[in-house]
Amino acid sequence: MPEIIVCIKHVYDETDLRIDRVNNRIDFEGAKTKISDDDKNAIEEAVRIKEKHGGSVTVLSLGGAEARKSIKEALAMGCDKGRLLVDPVFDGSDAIRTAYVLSLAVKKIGKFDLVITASGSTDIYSGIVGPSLAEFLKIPLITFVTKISELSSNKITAERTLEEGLVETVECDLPAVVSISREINQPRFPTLLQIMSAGKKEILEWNSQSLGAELSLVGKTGSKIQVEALNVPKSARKRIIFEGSPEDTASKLADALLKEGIEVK
Amino acid sequence: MTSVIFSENPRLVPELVTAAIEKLGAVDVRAVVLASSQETGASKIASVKGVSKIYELKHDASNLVSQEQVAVKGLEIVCNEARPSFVLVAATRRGREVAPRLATRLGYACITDALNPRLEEGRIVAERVVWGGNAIAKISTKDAVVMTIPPKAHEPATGEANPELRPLEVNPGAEVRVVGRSQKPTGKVNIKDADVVISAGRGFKKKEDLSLLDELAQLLNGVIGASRPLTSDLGWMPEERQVGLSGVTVKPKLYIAVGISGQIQHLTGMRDSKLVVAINTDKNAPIFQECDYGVVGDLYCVIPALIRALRSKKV
Ligand SMILES: Cc1cc2nc3c(=O)[nH]c(=O)nc-3n(C[C@H](O)[C@H](O)[C@H](O)COP(=O)(O)OP(=O)(O)OC[C@H]3O[C@@H](n4cnc5c(N)ncnc54)[C@H](O)[C@@H]3O)c2cc1C
Repeated sequence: MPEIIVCIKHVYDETDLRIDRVNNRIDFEGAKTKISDDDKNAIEEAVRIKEKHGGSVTVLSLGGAEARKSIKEALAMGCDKGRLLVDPVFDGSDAIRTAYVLSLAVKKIGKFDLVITASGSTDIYSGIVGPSLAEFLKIPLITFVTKISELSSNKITAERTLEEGLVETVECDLPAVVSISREINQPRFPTLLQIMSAGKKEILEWNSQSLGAELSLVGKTGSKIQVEALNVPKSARKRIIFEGSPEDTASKLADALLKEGIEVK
Repeated sequence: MTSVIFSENPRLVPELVTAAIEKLGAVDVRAVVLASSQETGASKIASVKGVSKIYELKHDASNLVSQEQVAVKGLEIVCNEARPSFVLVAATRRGREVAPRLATRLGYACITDALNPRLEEGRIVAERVVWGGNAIAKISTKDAVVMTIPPKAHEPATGEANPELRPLEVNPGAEVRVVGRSQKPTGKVNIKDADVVISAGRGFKKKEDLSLLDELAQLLNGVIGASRPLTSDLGWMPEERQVGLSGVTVKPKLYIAVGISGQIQHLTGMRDSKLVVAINTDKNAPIFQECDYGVVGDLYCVIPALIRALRSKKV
C-alpha cells in the first residue's frame, strides 16, 4: 500500500494584496493566506490514490508557524499526518534550498513510494522545487502530470502534457517524485465534519536540528539568488473608453481600429 | 564569459544566442542539441553566428527515451568541461524540468522565466513576474546560474556560422521510460503566433454564444482565445487557447478582450500586445485600465454592431 508524501506551500492570497501603483508598493499586511492553489490538486491526487489503493498520506510544508493552517486544511481534505518544517534558520531559503530541506524531511520519513508536488506555487511560480527535490533524493521524476494511469507496488505509469497537446506516457520505478498540473483533477472541499476531525490528526514540527540540516546550505546563507526589489508593473495604454448605444460605440471603435491600421477582410 | 545554451527544440536556440551575447555579454557560446530529436538537422538550425561549438547529444536511436534525462546528463557533462558562467534553457515544459535539475546537480543558482536578463556590476540580474502578475521581482545572483528564457522574448540570431560539431554519446540510464507519445487534437489554431487574438471571458453565458465571435475573427483575420474560466473550469475551449499566467502568453498586433474582467493573471498573458481593446458591461472592470480602446456595453449587442460597422467602413 502506497506511502505518499505531498509537499505544500502556505502563501499570501495574491488576489488580496494591496497594490499601490502610484507609490510602486505592494502591501502584504493583513492579506489573506491560503494553500497555494495547485498544491490542492497535489493533495487531491494523493488522497484519491489512498482511497483507491490504501496506504497513507503525509503532508510536508516548510514555512512559519502560520503554515499550520494550510497543513490542517490538507488534513481535512484527507491527508493523515502533517510535518511542519519550521526554523528561523530556514528563512530566506530560495527554491533549491527549500527542496534541500524537504529532501531531508522525506529521508527522515524514510519509507515512501511517491512524493507529489505541484508544478509551481501561486506566489512565485518558479517551478523549481519538484525537480530539485528529485535530484536531492536521487530518484526518478515525472513532471507536468495530467493523469496517473497506473500505480503498482513498484511502478508508476503517468501521462504528462507538454506544449501543443503533446501527451507523453511514461513509467518509472518507485519511489519517485511526481509534479502534477492543475488539470489533473478538481480538488474537493472538505466537509465540516472533516474539518473538525482534522484537528485530531498529528502535526509534528521538525527543525534544522531534527532534520540534520547543514546550516551553510539553508536560509539566506545557503541561497544563491537574491530578490533585490519588488515592483508594480506599469501600464502605458491609451484608455480611450466609449460609452453609449451599441451602434454608436461600435462605430467609434471600428473607426479607431481602422485608424490604427488594423486590416479588415 | 562562457555560456552553454540548450533547447530540445533547436529553433529556439537562435533566440538564446541573442540573450547570451547581446544581453549577457557571452564571448563563447556553446549550444547543446538533441541529436535524435524528430527534427533532423538540429545542429544545422542551431548553427547561427556567435555559436562556437555544438554538442550533439546522441542517445539511443529509439525515439522513446526521456529527452529530459538525456538533456540533464549531457548538459552536466558539457558544463563540467566548459565551466560556464551561465546556462540558458528555453522555457518550454521540458526546459522547465531540465533547468532546476541541472542547477541542483551542478550547485548553480536557478532563475526560471527570466525576463530582461542582463549584467549589473558583475551580477547576473533578471526580472520575474510574481504574485499572479501583481509584481515584478528583480532577482540577482553572483554565482553561476541556470536560467530558463521564455520563447519569443529575444530576436533570433541570424547569420551563417561554422561551429565545431562535437557528438557526445549520452547514457542517462532508464529511470524514466517513455512508453508512448500521442498528439491531442489541437486543431490548427495557434494563438501564440496570431496577429489578432480575440479572447472570450465569463461574460459569455453559454458555450454556443462563442460563435458570435466567429465572424469578427474572420473579418479581422484573427483567432479566438479565452480566459481561464472558459478553459479549465467550464471546458468550453481547449487549454491551449487560454491566455494568461497559467496559459499562453500572446503578443499580437491587436488583442480584443470580450467579457473579460482583466484579472492580473489574465493580463500577464497579453500585456505586451500592441493594441488592446476591451468590451465589458462593467465600467469599473480592471481591463479598462489596461486597454487602448474600450467599449462599455453588452457584448451581445456590441459584437454584432461592431461586425456591421467594420463591414460598412472597410475600404
Ligand atoms: C494561479 C492562478 C493562475 C491563473 N491563470 C489564469 C490564466 O492563465 N488566464 C486567465 O484568464 N485567468 C487565470 N486565472 C484566473 C483569474 O484570476 C480570473 O479568475 C479570470 O481571468 C477571470 O476570467 P474572466 O475575466 O473571464 O471572468 P470574470 O472575472 O468573471 O469576468 C467576467 C467579466 O465579464 C463581464 N460581463 C458579464 N456579462 C457581460 C456582457 N453581457 N457583456 C460584456 N461583458 C460582460 C463582467 O463585467 C466581468 O468583468 C488564474 C488564477 C490563479 C489564482
